[in-house]
Amino acid sequence: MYNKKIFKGVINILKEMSEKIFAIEVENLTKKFGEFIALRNISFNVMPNEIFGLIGPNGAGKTTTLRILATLLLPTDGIVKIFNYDIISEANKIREILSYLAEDAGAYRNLSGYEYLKIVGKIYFSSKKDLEEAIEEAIKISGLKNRINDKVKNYSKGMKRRLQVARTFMVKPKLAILDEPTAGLDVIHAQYIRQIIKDYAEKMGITIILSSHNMLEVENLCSRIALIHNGEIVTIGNPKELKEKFNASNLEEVFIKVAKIEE
Amino acid sequence: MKSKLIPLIEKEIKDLLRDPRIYIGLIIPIFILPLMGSIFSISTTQTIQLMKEGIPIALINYDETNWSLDFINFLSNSGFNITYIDFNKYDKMEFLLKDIEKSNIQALIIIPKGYGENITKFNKANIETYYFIRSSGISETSILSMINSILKKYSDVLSLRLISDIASDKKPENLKEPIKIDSLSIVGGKVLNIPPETLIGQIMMQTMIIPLTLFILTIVVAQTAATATAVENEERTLETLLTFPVNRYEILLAKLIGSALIAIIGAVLYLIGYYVYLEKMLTIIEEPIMEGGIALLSFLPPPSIEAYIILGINVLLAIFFTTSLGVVIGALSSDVRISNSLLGIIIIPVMIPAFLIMYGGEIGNLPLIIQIIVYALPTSYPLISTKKIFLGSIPIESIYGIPYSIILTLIVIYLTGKILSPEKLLTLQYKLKVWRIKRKS
Repeated sequence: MYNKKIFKGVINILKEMSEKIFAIEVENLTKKFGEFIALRNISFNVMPNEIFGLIGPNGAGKTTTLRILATLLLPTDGIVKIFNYDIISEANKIREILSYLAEDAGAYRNLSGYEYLKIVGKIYFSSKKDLEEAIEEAIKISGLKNRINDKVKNYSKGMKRRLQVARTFMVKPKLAILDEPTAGLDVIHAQYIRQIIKDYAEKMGITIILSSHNMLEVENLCSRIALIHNGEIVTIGNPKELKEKFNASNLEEVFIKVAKIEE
Repeated sequence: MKSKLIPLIEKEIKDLLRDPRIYIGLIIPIFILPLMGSIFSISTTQTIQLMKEGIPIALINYDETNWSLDFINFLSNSGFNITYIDFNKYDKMEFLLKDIEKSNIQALIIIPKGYGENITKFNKANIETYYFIRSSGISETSILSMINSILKKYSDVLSLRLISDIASDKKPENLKEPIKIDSLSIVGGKVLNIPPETLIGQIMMQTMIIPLTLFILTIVVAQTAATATAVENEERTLETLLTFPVNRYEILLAKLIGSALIAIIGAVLYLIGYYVYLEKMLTIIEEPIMEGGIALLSFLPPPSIEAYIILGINVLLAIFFTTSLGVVIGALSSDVRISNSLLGIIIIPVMIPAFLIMYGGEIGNLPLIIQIIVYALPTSYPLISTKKIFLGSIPIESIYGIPYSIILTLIVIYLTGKILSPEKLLTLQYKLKVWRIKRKS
């Protein structure tokens, strides 16, 4: 009886620990589209409150990985857990704690930025106070000021992206999945969004996984990175450690060296 | 998971109602129908005005007998404005016709030599008539048919006169038309003192408008739903939406409700347009020179409330069915262009049975395979109802069609919900693209 209680207690502690330890747990993940293998047996973990980067060239498998984590695609094989929820059987629970920013995600053209944020807010918040606070925060994140009342179709690409970033963080997610958050943006807009990602990860304790083919961006933002090439993770580590390990001055050099070794 | 339907519906309605492309479909009927009515009204008023002033015609008389003078007299009294032509001025008929074509003269009548003699001898007398067709407008065609009917009327008058000359003790009308045919029509158990051809003409005219309304409505609604969903794919908003803590069927239902609202607005606008159109038509028909017309419809028994309810349910289910189809098409299309071309391929076959019901005879007389297709489509039932309800009966198949349409629509919604996951959508969109490329090559 006494031993049983201790056993249960230990199990609970271990459970809590595992929840605290891994925000994302990916084990031997494979994804096939018919004959094409997009991901081959990849494994990695992301710690809570970490900014983790997936880098690699176009078609490497970054978006597929993020879409699986966002509950949009199903794994062909392997285990994927988000805060200990299984990606297949507990997808609904995962959707309540994650926020996903797709590459080139648009908003509804005929709604204003404010209306869009309000509708998204209504889906996540039932209390009026929480909703108003979230919208206020989102307007601040977007930096759109008075333009927030303009229709989305009148926004520039940078403005649309800022609105999407605001939408991603306004729902106070435990995990934010950002697919190429600054792709196609000019230097000023890209820098603005990088700063927001950094600030909100710290301020709200959000775990962030992002993808980019801009390796310098990832180097400045992420505490750890995984290099993906042809659907496989070729190396994982802290940017500084990786540069030292491969005797490279930046991540681009690291990637080229790793890719050559692989070939 | 609590219901997130209301913000989703709010999103659909705001996004749809602010899309200017949708207004093109919705506004066209409210403009086109009154415009058609106005054009008809103006043309007919012009015709009436011209008749009052005298229809301009040209005449060449080679006969110069009392018979030909009597004919000319009749034409003058019938409201023609006659210009007498001296043919000696022209070398060729061709030159004369060219000259007349330049004027406002509507017809040239030639009374040939021997016309009077032929009448006296009870031979067939000839009159040549050239009609100058300058346009295909309503005004032009009604003037030309008016000239033709006046000429025929003179032939009738002449015939009676000749009969009375031969048999003065007999009533000439009886000899000319020995049998009087009384035509009565029985509609919905009521005997109406109207010839069937007039009645059928009226029913056709009235019942044609409702199927046409339905065609436009269903196409607009299906296109609206397809475009709205395809835009979600194009702009990647569906991908974002599917990561929200929202039930997939709530996303679908919100889309259907949004599109159904557009359908209702469209229906109301169309009916307003149709009402104005009828108002304009009825004003013309009140003119004494015209006979019959839409006023005859008051003789028809009015449809019962039950009939209207069944028709209403049939219409609603047809709209819901096409809306669901539109969502499926939109979901399968990675952009609006693909969605529009797919819509054409799918919606047109869905509409063909509707044409068969509208213009064909009894459905039971159609080949079995066509009957099966007709009954398999929820879009057929409003048309079956429309056709029968005007004749005072409620078709049994329209009642059976209600549960059938509900089940079929639910199956379509269920299947749409099933494919509303990026896993399936991406695969299907990819297959569809490959199929289109193969088809094109």
